[in-house]
Amino acid sequence: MAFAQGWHECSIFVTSVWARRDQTFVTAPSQTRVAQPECRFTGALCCTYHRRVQVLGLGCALNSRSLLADIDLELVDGPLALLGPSGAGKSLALRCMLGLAPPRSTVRGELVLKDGRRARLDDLRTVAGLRGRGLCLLPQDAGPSLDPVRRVEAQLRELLRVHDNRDDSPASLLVQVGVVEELLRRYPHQLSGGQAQRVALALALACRPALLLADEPSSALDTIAQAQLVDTLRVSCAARSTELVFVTHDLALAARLCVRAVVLDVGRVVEAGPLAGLIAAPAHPVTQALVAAARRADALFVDVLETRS
Amino acid sequence: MSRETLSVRGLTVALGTRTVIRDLDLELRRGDAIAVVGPSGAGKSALLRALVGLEPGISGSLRFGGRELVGAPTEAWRPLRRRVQLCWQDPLAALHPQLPVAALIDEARLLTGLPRWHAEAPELHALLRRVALDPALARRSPGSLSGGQRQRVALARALAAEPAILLADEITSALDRPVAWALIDLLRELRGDGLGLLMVTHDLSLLPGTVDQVLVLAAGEVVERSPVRELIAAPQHPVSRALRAAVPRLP
Repeated sequence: MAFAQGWHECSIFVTSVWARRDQTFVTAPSQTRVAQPECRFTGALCCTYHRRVQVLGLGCALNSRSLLADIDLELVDGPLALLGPSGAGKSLALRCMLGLAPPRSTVRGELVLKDGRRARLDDLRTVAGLRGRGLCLLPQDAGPSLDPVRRVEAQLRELLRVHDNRDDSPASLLVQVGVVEELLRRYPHQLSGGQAQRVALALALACRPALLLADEPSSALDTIAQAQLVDTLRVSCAARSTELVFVTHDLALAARLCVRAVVLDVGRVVEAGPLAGLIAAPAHPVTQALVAAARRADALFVDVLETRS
Repeated sequence: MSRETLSVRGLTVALGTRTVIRDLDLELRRGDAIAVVGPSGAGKSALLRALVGLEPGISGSLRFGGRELVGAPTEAWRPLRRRVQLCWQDPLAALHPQLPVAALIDEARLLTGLPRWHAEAPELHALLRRVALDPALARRSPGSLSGGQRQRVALARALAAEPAILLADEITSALDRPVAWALIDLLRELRGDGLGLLMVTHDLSLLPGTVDQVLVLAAGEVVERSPVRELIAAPQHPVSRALRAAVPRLP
């Protein structure tokens, strides 16, 4: 089967790969194709800005066991950090928002986008229609979500065409995410982890999503690439009025990007508010542990610097 | 020279026509701890793969226990493969997706010729606790675990082989900070017991007190080699300075 011929075959292929690898979609074009007309986004996101992107009462249960309950997210003042220890349900929350919750689970909750469109998260067809121009995922590990048999350029071009994006070109997207244009000619296996991650960001930006869900996008990168990716995220989301939910366990990194934060533990919101306040006075034990761990790293630096000077 | 020293002189690693590591020197004894840092694409993971013989295009000299391994037949690598364990960066690709955790760890014992551990073995449960995992996870398969849990299973598997030297490829980067510190404390403790440690990381903040020497790798070459405190306080090479400056700090 020739995968390179059209996006339809390609997305079938990618879907099967991801299903096996327990991975989710970044931007599978087939998902936008099944969109119902009423939930399609029109043109260049001419949103009204008095509304906020909100997630209301997100919950998820599997075999009558509650995995997530009553999670409210509201995007005010730029990117929102979603913090919590591993296993807190951060990634699951994103998957539920994308309509990619585990099989046989029941999802509750509602998603409100800036243009006022609302989607019940248990209505998978509507949510599937939002993927792409409404919601996009930037996964933790971009490698498996790239098509292994096509060059970067073809993958970017395909998304630009599918999402009718004439403002960007594959080269301009790569420049925006801070990698050299010559990567256009490469295949995914020829990219390093940091490059693959940024190509995935370029793919997400090609969809011009209203809400970008970044699932620890930088945790596999070196600190230089991490800082660059975070800066790129901030700049490109601001430039495109894309709202951003940034999932991380690194408080210091979150502080570089986000003003507000929500802390999850075992599927519930345990603390929410301005990030600076959470760092200065963490109330919940989970937040306290995150702050203490970040302080431990910081203290070592201060210690080294002071004993030298 | 100790029997279990890993000694590398002028190691060059080629991937096809591209040279990914050029002329690298390194000596790792039991109880030593060295970090390799560098931007992505610098060749850090390729170096670790080369050290366990998974890169065919190596030249120069690589000795383990005094025996030259470059160009040697596969059997010659066996002592190294047994005593030097690599903990992979991507645990999902490194762990068999359908075996339960207990079987994965037991397999490492089998392959290294150590006494086997059944699923309820107290040693197995103690090891899982040491890597901050709930022993109840022993019956689960990697596919049902979170990324951070898988990473710790991969570390437990490497440690179950009772290595003399552990090569750890970014083992803390998928973990939340409190767990990362728990693993770093474990590595420090193991090092005190005589484990040789070569850790690849991009997080300089984990290094003070964990390793002595840091090699900064950029485009396949060692551009700086300093004690860890020196590197953090006064990085010399531009790449080291960039790494130092990029460490996120609390506001």
